[in-house]
Amino acid sequence: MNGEARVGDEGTTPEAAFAANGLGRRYRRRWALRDCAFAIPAGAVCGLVGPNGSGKSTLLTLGAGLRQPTAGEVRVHGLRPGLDPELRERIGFVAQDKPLYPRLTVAETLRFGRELNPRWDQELALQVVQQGRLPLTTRVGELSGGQRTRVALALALGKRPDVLLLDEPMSDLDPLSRHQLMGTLMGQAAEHGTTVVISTHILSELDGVIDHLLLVDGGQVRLAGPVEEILGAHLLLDGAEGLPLEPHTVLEVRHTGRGVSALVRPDGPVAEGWRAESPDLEQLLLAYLRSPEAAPLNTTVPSTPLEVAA
Amino acid sequence: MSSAVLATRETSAAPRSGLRPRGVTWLTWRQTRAALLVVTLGYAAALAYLLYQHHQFDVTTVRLRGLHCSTDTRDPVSVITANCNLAALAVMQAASGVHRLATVALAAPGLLGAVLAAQPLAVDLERGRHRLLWSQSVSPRRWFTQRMLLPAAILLVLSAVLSVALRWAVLWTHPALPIEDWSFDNASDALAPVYPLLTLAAFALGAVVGLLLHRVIAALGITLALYGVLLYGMAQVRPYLVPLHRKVVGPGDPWPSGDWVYDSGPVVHGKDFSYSACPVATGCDKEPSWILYHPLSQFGPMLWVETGMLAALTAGLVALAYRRLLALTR
Repeated sequence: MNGEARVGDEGTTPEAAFAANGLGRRYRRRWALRDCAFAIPAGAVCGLVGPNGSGKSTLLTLGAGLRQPTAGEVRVHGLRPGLDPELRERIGFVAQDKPLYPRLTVAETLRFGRELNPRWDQELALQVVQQGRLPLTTRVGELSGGQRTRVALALALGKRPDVLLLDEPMSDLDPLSRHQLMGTLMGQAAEHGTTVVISTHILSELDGVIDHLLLVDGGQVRLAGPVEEILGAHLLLDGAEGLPLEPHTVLEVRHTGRGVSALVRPDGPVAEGWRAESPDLEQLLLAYLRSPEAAPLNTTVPSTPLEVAA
Repeated sequence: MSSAVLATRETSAAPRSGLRPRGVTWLTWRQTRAALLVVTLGYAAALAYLLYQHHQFDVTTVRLRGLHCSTDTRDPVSVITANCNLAALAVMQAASGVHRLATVALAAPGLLGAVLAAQPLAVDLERGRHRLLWSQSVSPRRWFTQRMLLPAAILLVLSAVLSVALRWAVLWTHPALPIEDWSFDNASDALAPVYPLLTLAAFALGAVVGLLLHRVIAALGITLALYGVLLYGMAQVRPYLVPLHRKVVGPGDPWPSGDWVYDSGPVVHGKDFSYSACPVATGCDKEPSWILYHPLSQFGPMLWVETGMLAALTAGLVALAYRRLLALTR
């Protein structure tokens, strides 16, 4: 951190759209999240990655205000989700199973959104639905899983939120729909400055799309920060067996038939003999997921406690 | 990655004028309109049946009185007896029809609490739709309030209309139905003012069960079972809602007419006994009897006491429902 200004630092950088400090959530005796701290700036498109059961859905649920933290705090634009009423219309959330009312038609589902949201954008919601050629008079229960996902996303986008939290939104979409909807999401982020947090298992889906990354594993944040900064902090080294890796922080070492491949966080010059290159996002994430003991890197931790917005 | 950037648009929230349902009320109306229509038709049918039976009671009573069964007539005795029996039977049938309607009406609040409160809440929670609802711009508290308010208000009106009509048929018309069949009987809970509060209590009970269980079938069954327990409990406490009166009736003297005799037994040597203590051979026919009873004049106050208890129960259940709702968002 080195005293640099960070997202969430009071008065120095843009306001953190989605931030946590010491965040923990326990279900009975099991901690789903523990001691999480991060800050995602407004307008960022953040990928939330982690293995099954790592706490991604819990984190998004806390961000949407559907649950409250057991420890620490979570803030969206400085306000407490679920507790500060003025925040309700500023957060959009799509749950992993995309719950909808099956007996309502598509048109009625959009009316549901219009009736319950004062900032409703009917044109945008209609556009998302019509992009998938969904008949408005069809009952939601008669749609395929992918089509229901599209309706759920139309509901979330039509709300015109400032922060959009999507829990594995693309998992049951065909490639074309995925491409279309990702484009629409990016368009919203670019046009309205919407902060988008997408959790996903499809790592390739994130490449070139996200500008921030949050890797959660075992209920704790292991990577957090701008993608370029995180990628820039790592090197992928290839070389012969026995080459020195000190004084770097070694995250993963893989022995191949021809030598050694290592992912490191460099701390000083790389020893002669290593071929060094920047890892791509997928390589980096897979390395961290394969190495649960690797040291975390969080470039977003606020240097001051989060302030409650007045 | 292509970006489908859309042009800037004005937001188009639902217009806020006119009497049409808005917000959560619209959603509630859309989700329950068919069920509420069926319920309204059911209550209307019950009301029509009540009016028909009451009319039959009036007609048959006039016919019975017209037969002058207790006076001399020039008709043969066998004909008089047959006519009188048939006419009296018709009066009784009309009266018991109303009583039967009230007994059946007592089942309705439990069913409605299960179907209109427990089931929709449980199904929303079971299928995760509460996350969809609560991530819109309304708070869970507001959603729950408006979700419950519309059906509760409609049920309150419908149950009030039916129960007032029943009370009119039983107590306020001339000729009135035989009050002995009604006073302190379970069916009296179908009369105003008890019945509307019983309906609200059952509805609140359904809401609490729905919020607690998150399982549709279980919520339906538990609501019905608990409603049965409520009716049974009310029947158990009913004798003690107002103070019991005691008096001693001499052998051969008439017992109180129209009153509710709660318990009785022989008085032997100035002490109260139960009839089981009487000798099998001689019995206690020649002994005076002690009677614990509620006079008919206590019927009205007792209904109000029951209403108060149900109002307190409803308030407690509503508070419990909001507490449970709060726990679901913590």
